[in-house]
Amino acid sequence: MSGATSLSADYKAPGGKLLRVRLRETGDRIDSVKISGDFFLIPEDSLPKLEKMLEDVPLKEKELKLLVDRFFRGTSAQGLGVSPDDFVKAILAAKREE
Amino acid sequence: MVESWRLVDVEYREDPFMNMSVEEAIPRTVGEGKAPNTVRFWHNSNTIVLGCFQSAALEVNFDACKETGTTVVRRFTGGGAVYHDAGNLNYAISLKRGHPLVPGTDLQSVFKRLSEGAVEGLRSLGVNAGFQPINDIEVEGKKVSGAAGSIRWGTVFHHGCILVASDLAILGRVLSVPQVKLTDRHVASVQKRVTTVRDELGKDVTTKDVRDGIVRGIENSYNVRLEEGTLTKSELLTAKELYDTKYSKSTWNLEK
Repeated sequence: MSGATSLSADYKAPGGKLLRVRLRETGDRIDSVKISGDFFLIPEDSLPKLEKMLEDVPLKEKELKLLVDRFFRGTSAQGLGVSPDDFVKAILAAKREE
Repeated sequence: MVESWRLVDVEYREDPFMNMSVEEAIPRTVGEGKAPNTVRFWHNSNTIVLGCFQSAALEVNFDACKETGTTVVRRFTGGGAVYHDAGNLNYAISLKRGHPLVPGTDLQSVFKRLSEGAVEGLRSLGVNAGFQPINDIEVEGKKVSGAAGSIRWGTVFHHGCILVASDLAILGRVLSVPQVKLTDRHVASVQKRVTTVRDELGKDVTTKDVRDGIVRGIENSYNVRLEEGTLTKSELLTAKELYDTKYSKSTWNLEK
C-alpha cells in the first residue's frame, strides 16, 4: 500500500511488564497492529480481538483511549502487569519513535 | 477430613511439545470434572518456553538455539519466556474453579496464593525465598522461579518453573532479553538477576529434592494431601489431540 509506514516501540509498563508494538499506519490511521510481550491478559484469546478493533483507528490518544476502554469494558478482559492505559501509551510510543 | 489432590509426575523430557500438550490437557479435564484437582511435576530438556503473547522473532536467539540444541515451544499462558533444562523443575496446579483457596477471579491473588506451596517448599530446604509480585519467587532480589497462570476451562491454573541447577550461561544466550527490561533493574544481564537453588544453598541439590520439598510445602500450606496418581484416558486423548493440532505446529510455537 502506498504511503504506509511501519512503526514499532517497546514500552515498559510501571509494573515491569513489556508491551512490544509493531504497527503499520497510513495517514495517521492504524492499518494493522501486533501487540506482543510478557504481560498477562485473560481471556488470552481477547488480544487478537483488541488488535482487530484497533484497525482503522486514528493514532491519537483520545481515540485510542476510547477504543481500548471500550474493549476492556465490553469483553471483561483482565490485564495483569498492564493497564488499559499502558496499551494506549505503548501504541503512542510507536508513533513518537517514528 | 483433609482434602486429597492428585499428584502426577508425568513428563516427556525429550518432547517439549508433548509436555506442553499435557500441561493444557490437565486443566481442561479438571474443569470438565473428569479429573481431580491436580499437581504435576515435570522437566524439559533444553527448551525455551514462550509466553502466549510473546513474539518468537523478538524474544529468541535462534542461532544460539541451534548451537545449543534448544527447542522453542509456546505455552497457553501469558508472561515471559523461560529457559528449561534438566536442572529446571516445573510444577503445575489445576484446581476446579470455585475452589475455596482461590475463590475469586483476580489473577494476582491466584499467583500469590498458589506460589505459597513452592515458597514454603524452598524455605524448608533452606532457601530464603519469598513471593515477589507480579509472578516471581525471589531470593534477595534474584529470581529463582517464575510463574504464570490463567482462569480458563472451568479451572484455576497456575504453573511455575524453579531454577534448581540450570545452566544460566545457556539461558543468557538463547533468550534475547530487551535492554528496556534490564536497565530498569540496574543489572547488566539476565544471568545477574537470576539465581538457582544450588547456588543459594552452596551445595548440590537435585530436582527430586526440590520436588519433594514442594510436595510438603503444598500439603502444609493448603492443608491437603497429595496422592500419587496417573493421567486419565480422557486426559491422554486430549493431550494427543492438542499435540497434533497445536503444540507440534510451528504456526502455534513460532508465528506470533
